[in-house]
Amino acid sequence: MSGTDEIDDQLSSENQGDRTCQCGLFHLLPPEIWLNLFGYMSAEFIAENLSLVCKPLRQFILSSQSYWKYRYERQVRAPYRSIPNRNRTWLDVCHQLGRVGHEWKQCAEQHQNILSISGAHIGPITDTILLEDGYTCITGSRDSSICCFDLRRLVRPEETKTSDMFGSPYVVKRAEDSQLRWIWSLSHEKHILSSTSSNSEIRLWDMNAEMREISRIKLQATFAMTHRLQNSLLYAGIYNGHLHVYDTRTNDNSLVRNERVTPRGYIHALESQDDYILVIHKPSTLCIYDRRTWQKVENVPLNLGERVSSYYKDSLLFLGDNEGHVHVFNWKQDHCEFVEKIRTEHNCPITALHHSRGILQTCTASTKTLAIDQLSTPITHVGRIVADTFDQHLCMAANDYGLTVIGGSDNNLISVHRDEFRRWYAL
Amino acid sequence: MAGNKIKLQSNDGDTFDVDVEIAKQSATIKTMLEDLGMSEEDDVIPLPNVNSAILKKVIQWATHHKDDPPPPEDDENREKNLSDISSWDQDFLKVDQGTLFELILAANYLDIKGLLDVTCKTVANMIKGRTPEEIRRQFNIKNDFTPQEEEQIKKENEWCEEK
Repeated sequence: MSGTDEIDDQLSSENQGDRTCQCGLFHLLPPEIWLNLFGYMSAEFIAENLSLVCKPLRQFILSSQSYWKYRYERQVRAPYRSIPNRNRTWLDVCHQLGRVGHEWKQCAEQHQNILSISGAHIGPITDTILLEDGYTCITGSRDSSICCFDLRRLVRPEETKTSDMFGSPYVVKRAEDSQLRWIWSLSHEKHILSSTSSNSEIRLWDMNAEMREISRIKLQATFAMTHRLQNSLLYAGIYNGHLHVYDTRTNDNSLVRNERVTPRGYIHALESQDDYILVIHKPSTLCIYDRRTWQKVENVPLNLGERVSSYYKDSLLFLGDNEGHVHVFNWKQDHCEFVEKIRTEHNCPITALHHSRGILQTCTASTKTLAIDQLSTPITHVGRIVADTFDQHLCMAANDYGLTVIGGSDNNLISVHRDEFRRWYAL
Repeated sequence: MAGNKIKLQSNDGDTFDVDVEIAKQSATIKTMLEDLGMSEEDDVIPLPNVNSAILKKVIQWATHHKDDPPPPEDDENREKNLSDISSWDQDFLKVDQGTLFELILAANYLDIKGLLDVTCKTVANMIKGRTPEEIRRQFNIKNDFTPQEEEQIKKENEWCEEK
């Protein structure tokens, strides 16, 4: 039983025995007035301060779940809402949303917790991913190296003093392509990392074993700009418009499917959902394949310009266009349903984007700006961070633990972390 | 008709003659007059939840605000604004806490949105940005949490996030 439950139980037994309040602020005003008063206060303040004034008020705050659900739904519109799971309540969800907004504002207004990490790469960073542990970041670069960062060190400064063997105290492992080819894209499944490079190869690395190379796939033609590793199958979007599928369980990573997606334009993004593969190829066309039959279920010209940036998670597909709009699609069983077109503060191409629990992050290389928007109605602009960089193109990854990383042509990895990241990972 | 008056009776028996248009700022009274067919001339409208002193204050407020446009609908997306209390209202609400709370209750019962908003804002201003101890001191409230309970709640609040 949690502490809250215990207090609640004590309260309910006290209340049953004696209905008169000996202490309370709460009993000075009727419940509907308290709900009115809550409207003037942040969820953070209510949870962290007001609920500690007296037990009856705390009990009322915790038990007003319909109010908190209503309040949350007014702050984040469908389909971007999260729902509380396990032991979390709607108050927790509101509290967290308020805290995320507050922490982003702090980062943006005070330029806090932003660090440009240099020294790891000597060439532009082309792709970056964050692992499920919440703190490991992998970057691939045109300098033909792959770096593995332990970003817990952002909040454990004492650990950055211990090692600098890979050019940066934040890098803990590194792999090098001896042929000096550009790394184009990265993916991973558990401890297996996959990378594609400009010499028409895809390599598999063991992240548990100091980035030992496990095997290598030689593509028949040109290189893969994007790929996904899932259920031991490697889906590679090839520059010539083909989609290859390799089975990494076989010794020779045998090619199990070679599908011609488009005769013109290259594939620059792909995602998988249920039994389907979503492919985005130049010029901004979305194709959906049923991977059981390899039938092309849909082929939708999006007319969003030559190339779009994309982010896919939890059945939502976000596409950033050249004019600063984000087009959102919702996956529905076997097709993508258009949700809406969001206008961001950028009036220029969106280079990379990320969405989590109603917070949309978009960045653009044109003005080197990361914008954070809360998807309420109308949209709330939470903050803007202008990076001190010369990047011409950018890649970005972010996670649910308060960490965002941006890499680009400036060779540096820019990390932005909210205080939530510190709470998870500081010693 | 302009200039019509009605009689409002407080719970301690005093009656007050009030312009109908002023009284109709109270949605409760408006409903009584319009929907329940109470006549303006003869009937006394009893207000059993409001005493004379508070009713006098409410009438004073409603008289001052009789020409105000209807208050805007709340924008629920964001926290409501605390700063825009007119100087007249600020002076009007320089009262002891008991009176302020009674005004809130009266505004709530009489359904006068403008008065409810401004009184709630005043109370919210007394609470917002303060520590639990400061709030307790402000309202003369006893702390009924043990230090252990306080510690436990603070620890839980650290982790409103899920992993």
